[in-house]
Amino acid sequence: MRKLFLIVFMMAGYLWSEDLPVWFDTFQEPLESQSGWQTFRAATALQFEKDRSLAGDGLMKVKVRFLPKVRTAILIWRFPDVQMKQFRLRVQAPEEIGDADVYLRMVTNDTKGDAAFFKPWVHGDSSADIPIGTADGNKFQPASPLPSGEWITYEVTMPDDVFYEQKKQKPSHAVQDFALMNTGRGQLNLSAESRPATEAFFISFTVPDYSPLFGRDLEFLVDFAEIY
Amino acid sequence: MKFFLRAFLWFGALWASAAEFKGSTETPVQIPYAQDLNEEMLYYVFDWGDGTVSPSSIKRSGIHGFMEHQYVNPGAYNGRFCAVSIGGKQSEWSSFTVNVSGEASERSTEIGRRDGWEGRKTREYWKRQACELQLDNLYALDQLTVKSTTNFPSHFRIEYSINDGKNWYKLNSAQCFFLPSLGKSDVVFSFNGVVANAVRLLVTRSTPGEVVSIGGMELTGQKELLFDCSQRGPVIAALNNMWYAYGSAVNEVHLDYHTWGQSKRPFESGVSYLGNAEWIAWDALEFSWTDAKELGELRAKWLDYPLDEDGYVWACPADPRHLFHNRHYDNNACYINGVVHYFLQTGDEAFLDHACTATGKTNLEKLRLAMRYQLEQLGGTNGVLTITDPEVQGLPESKSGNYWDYYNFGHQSAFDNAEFYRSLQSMAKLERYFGNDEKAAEYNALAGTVKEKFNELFWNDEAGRYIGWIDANGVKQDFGFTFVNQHALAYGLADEERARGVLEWLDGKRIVSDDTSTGKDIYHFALGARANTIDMATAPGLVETWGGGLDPDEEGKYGLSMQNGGSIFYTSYYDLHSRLRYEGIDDAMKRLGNIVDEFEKDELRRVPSNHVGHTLIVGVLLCFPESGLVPMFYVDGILGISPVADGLQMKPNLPAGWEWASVKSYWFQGKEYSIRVDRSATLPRIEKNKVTVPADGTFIMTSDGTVSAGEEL
Repeated sequence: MRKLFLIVFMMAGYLWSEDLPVWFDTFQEPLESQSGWQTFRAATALQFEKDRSLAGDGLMKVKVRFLPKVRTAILIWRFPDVQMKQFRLRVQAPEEIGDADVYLRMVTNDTKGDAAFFKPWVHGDSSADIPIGTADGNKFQPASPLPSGEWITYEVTMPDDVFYEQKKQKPSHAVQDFALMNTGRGQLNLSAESRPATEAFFISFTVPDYSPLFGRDLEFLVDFAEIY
Repeated sequence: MKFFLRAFLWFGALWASAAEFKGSTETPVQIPYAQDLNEEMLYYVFDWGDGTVSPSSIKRSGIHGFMEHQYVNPGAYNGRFCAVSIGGKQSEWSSFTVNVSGEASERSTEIGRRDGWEGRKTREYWKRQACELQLDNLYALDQLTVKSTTNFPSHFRIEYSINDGKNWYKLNSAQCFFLPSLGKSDVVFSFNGVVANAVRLLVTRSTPGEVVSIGGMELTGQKELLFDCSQRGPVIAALNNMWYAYGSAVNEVHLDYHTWGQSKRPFESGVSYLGNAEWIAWDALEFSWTDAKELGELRAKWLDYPLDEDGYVWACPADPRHLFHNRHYDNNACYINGVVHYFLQTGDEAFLDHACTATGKTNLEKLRLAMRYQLEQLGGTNGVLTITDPEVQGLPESKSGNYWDYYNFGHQSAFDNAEFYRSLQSMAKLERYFGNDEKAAEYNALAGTVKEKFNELFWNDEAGRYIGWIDANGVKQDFGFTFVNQHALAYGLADEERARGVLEWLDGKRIVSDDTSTGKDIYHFALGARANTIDMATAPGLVETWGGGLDPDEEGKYGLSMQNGGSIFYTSYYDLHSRLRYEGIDDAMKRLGNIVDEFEKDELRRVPSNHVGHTLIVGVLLCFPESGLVPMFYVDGILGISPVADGLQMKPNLPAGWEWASVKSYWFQGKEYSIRVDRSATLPRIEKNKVTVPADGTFIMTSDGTVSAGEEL
C-alpha cells in the first residue's frame, strides 16, 4: 500500500512539476484558421488531420517539393510576442526520403526585426557540417539528417542554442510592407530600450545541392509545437 | 534605460489611474492603461470594485489605451487593474477610484443562465473542455457573466455560435491566459451586440491533475437585433456578425488599441477603417449612419484632407502617392463620393464650411476643386477620364492608377471612369442639396455622356464584358476583371442585355474562350469572385508585383495572389448590388446565401498563405477594412436606404418570404431612428423615432422627420 502511495505521489509530483508551454499548437479540432502557420519556398501547402494517437488528437501535414533552385522548405509560425526560453517541435520526415539527407533548423524573428539562428537538429554522433546562409556568409553548423518515418523532437533553448544573430535587414519584399501598412508600429518607439520578444519562427527543412528528392512530392508531419 | 522606460510606463499608468474618475450610471467610465511586460503581448484585467472583473482584449506591450465599464449603481468604487502577458508575467495591481452619479440603472435583460460547471481531471495540458449555454433563439448578446469559484480556469476563451453549436467562433476580445486568481469577483465579457443562439467557455490549456470549475453563467441581451427580420436564421445572424467583425470591428483584437489599428498573426482581425483617399467612400458608407467614435475620428482625418493646388487628392494625408509609390487617379472620385455621402447622411454643414488649414479652402470648395481636376486635368468634360501621367499609361512598365495596384490600370481606365461616373452623380446630389439645380443637371447630363462613352470604349463585344483599360497606344486590355464589371453594373453603367451577359459570365453559364478560370471556378473562393479570369502571367509586363514575380515559383501564380486569380471580399458588395439592380433581389440573395454558407464555417477568418509565405490570396482581414461593405448591402440593398439630396431615400427590396426587415440605431442628420420595412404596411409612417415604410415603393424622410412617398432618385 505504501509502495502504491509512493508511486502515486511520485507520478503526481512529476505531473505537477512539469512546466507547461505558454503557447502551443497541437492541431486539435476545431482547427483554427488563424493558427499562424504559413508555408514558404519548397513548402507548398498545409493539411490538418485527426490522429488520436498524437498530442491534440491531430497533426499537420506539410506538403513539400524540393527543386534544385529551391532546396529549403520553410514553415513560418507566427505567435504572440513572447519571451521565449525554449521551443519544442515534434516532426516526422516521410518514409520515402529513405537515406536522402534532410536537415532541420530554425531562425526566429524578434519584435525589433532582428533574427536569431538556432543550432540545427543533431542526433548523437550522426552529424555533418551544413552551410547556413547568414548576412556574414555561410556559417557551418553540425546537423544530423532526419530519420525517415520516425518522430523526432527538435528542442532549442534561448539563448544557449543561438549560434548567430543578425540585425534587421531591409525588407526585400515591398508587399510585406503593404501587408503591414498602417500598423502604427513606427509610432511605438519602444523597441530601442526594451528587450525584444520573439514573434515568429522560420522552421526549415533543407536538402543538399544534389538531392534525389528534387521534384518529388513529400509530406512532412508535425505533431506539436510548444513554446516555453 | 530599459528600466526607466518601464518605470515611466508604470508610473504613468499609476498616475493616470491614481486620479479619481467620475462616471455616471448612464455613460461608461474610461480608465487609461499602459504597461510593458518585457515587450510581450498582454491583456489587462480590470477589477471594477463592484464585484465584477473584465479582461481586455490582447494588446502590444506599452500601448496607451482605455478600458470602459458601465456602473449600474451610483456610489464610490475602489477598482484596480493589472497587466498579464502571454508568457504569464503579471504587473503590480494599480488602484483607481470612480465616483458614479445618477440613478440606479437596469442591466439589460437576462436571456440565459446555467448553473455551476466542473471540468474533468485531465492528464494532458492540451485537452480542451467546454461549458455551454444554449439559448432558445437568436439574440443580440450584451454581456456574459461567468460566476466565480475557487478553481476558476486560467486559460480559456469565450465563443459563440449562430447554429446551435454546429460551428463556434471566437469572441476575439475574450481570450485569457494566466488569468490571476480573482477571489469572489465574477468575470464579465462584453459582446457588444454580436448575434448568437449559444455561447461557451472553452478551456484552452489545462493543468494536468487539476480540475477547473465555474460558478455558473448569466447572459444578457436583447431579442431585437441591429439588423432584424421576420426570417430568423443564419442569414440575418451572419449579416449582423459580419458588421461586428468587419464593419465596427468592435470585438476584434487591435494590438494598438484603435479599431483601425492592424493586428498580426495569430490574431488577425477585422479593421474598422483606413481613412485614406481610396477608402473614403467605403469608410463613409460604413460609418456615416452610426454614432460610433470611429465616425468622429474619420471626420477629423478628412477635415483637412490634402489636395494639390490643381485639385488632385492625395493618396493619404502624408503623401500624394499610394504607398509613396505613384499617383492614383481614382482618389478624386473616391474623395467626392465619400465626403458627399458623409455630408448628406449627417447634414454636417460645419464640416463643409471648415476652411482647410493648409489651403484656406472650405471643404465644399475642395469638393468642387476635386471635381474640376477630373473635368479639366483628366479631360472628364469629354466624357472619359484620360490619365496623362507618364507613369500611368497602362503600358508594360507603367504603374497602376487605382486601388488595384498590381494591374497597370492607366491612360483610359474603366475602373477609374466608373468611379468618375459615380462622382458626377454625387456632385449632382450635393449641388441639388444647395439648390443649384442647374449645376446638378449639368453633372447629370455629363454622367449620361460618360455612360455612353464608357460603353463605347470599354465594352468587349467578343468576351461580353467590360475591359480593364485602353493603354496609351490604344490597345484594349481585358483580363476578365470581375471587379470592374461589378463596379460598373452596381453603378448602373450597363444596359439590361450587357448586364445579363456579364452576370452569365460570372455565374459560369457563359464560357469566355481563353479564360483561365471558367464556370463554377470563377467563385472558387466562394466569398467572392476571382479578381480576374485570365492569368496575368500571359502578360507579365502589365502587372507590377511589388518585388515578386508571376512565374510559378513566385507569389503571382494564378490563384495564389488576390490580384491574380485570388479574391478580395469587398467586391461582393458590388456583386450583390449588380445582381439586385439587373436580376432582382432573389438573385442577390442566392449569392448572399453562398457568402453566408462560407461565413458560417469560420466567419471568413481565413488567411491562406502561398508558397512564398505571403497571405495575400484572399483579402478579408488585416488591411481590408472595406470588408465591412458587404453587410452594408443589408442597409442600402435589402432595406434600400441611402441619403439623397432631398433626404433619406428608402426603396426596399425585401426577399421572398421576409414579412419585414429593420435596422435600429440608424442615424440621419443628427437623429437616431429605427427603420422598418413591412409588407403589412400600406402607408409610410413615423412615430417618435420609429419609421415604418411599405415593402413596395420609394419613400423619402426629410431632416425634419417627415416621411412620404417620393419619386425615385
